[in-house]
Amino acid sequence: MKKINLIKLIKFIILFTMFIQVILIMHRNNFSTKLLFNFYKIDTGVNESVYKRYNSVHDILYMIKVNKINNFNYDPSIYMNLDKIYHETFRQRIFELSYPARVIKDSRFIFSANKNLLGNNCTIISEKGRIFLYECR
Amino acid sequence: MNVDNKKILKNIFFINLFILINYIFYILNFSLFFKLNTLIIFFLFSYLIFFNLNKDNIFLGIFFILFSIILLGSATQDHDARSIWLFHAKRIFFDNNIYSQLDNYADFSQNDYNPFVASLSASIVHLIKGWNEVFPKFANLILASCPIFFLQLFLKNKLQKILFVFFILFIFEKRLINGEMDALLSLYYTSIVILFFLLLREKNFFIFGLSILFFTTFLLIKSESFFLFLFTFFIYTIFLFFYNKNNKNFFNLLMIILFSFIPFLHWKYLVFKNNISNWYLQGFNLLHIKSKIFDFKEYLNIFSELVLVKSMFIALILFFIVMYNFFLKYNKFFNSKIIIFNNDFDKLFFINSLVCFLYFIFLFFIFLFSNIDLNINEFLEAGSFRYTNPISFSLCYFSTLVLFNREKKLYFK
Repeated sequence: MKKINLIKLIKFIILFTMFIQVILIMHRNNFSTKLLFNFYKIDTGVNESVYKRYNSVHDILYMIKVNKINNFNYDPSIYMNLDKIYHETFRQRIFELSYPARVIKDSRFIFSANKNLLGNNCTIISEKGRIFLYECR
Repeated sequence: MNVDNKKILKNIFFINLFILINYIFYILNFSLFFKLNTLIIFFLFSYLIFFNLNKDNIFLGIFFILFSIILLGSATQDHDARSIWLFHAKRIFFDNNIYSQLDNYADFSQNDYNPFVASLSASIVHLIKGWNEVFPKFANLILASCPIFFLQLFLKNKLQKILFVFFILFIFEKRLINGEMDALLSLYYTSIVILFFLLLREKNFFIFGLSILFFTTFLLIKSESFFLFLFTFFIYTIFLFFYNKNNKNFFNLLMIILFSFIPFLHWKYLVFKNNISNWYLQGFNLLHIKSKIFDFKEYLNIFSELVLVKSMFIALILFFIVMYNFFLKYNKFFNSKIIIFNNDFDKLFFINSLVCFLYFIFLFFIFLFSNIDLNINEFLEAGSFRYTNPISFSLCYFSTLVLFNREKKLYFK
């Protein structure tokens, strides 16, 4: 009977563990062949890059693009449906995904989840999902 | 050093050089050459991966190809990568200006951090049709290739090289390709420990050049780099005091360090001039420190979070195995003032362990005195995984060198 070479066995175990680890990394990174074949295109991965709980950010992003706005502000109501620990992360996703459009305090464009919050000076110019885009005078 | 490894070293040298040139172009607003420079970096990177391999490091080539595929097939999701590093890159790309973060817009994005890696991310996006959430983080893999190929030059056989990739996979996990900087910090830190050693031992102009590039890059990666660099320098100085007081190469080391600090200090000056504060320092006040310093429950909490992570667990097992060997090997010196080391690898392991110890203490107090509520634990758990990476990776690397080497002198194989 052939003797099992110990070094070869150790090498095999290490290599097999590494293979499993690579699969785990692929899973944790949400690897997708759809992204792989489109990695050179504009906006690839925008939908996949934000966790589902922050999906309203995509609605805001969509309205920014459609209405071609350079700056905006938002009402905290847009993330009030989330647990408090996610508020800051949601705010950060708005800032970084919407860039080059900037969040400015006195912008005339305001995103809100409330339909009647902003009074007579503001009119809804766009809406998507539960988010409304107001233009204020 | 054999011919293959000379070629690899030159390749690493030029990749790092052109990455630094890319940063300097941004600093000087030379937008004309971005594309050409980035194409050269890509060419050199591909050459390193595909054409510079021998039968010993083919495994590393496969690793890079595999990681490139995973990277290009996944979007950036992690919080720090999105909110800090790739957001800086996005700002540089759209504003075509490396100084754009100095307006302190979106202060959560740590605007005082150096945009060195972000500038490379912004540059490589110029090669494709426009900004997306996949390709910019490729910059991390390109930058990581330099220290990874440098470190593998000191590994003598296939088993060591397999273990090296094993440590990269298990300690960094996805952090090498998710747009965060901790893996880069660890890899560069481990490299500079070796470069300090080589600089103090010999006068070699190629090592001088490579050290300037690696030191500069390391200092520009993250805020922690400065402290790790400081601790490394401190430990080496003490080591010289005990072992080689009249080292003639210490002056060369000092000159190289001074030169490498120029871009780092330049950015710090800009941050200071624009009155941008550091996120860590914002939470520090004396009252807060006074209230926490006697809270021993917090001590235990932080200690367990920093040590009881998978990567530290692997590193500590190897560390104690090597320490046991040390105990057997050097027990005759225990009553004398200094240990006479048998070989270079033992010295390096000893020096690195001391630097890691100082860094661990530093991390411990950073966590203790931060204004973040550690009871939430989310911050600490997320942080401890990443912040201890330089400790765990370097301990594993140097332990491998000690355990599997029969030679006495550190040299490029």
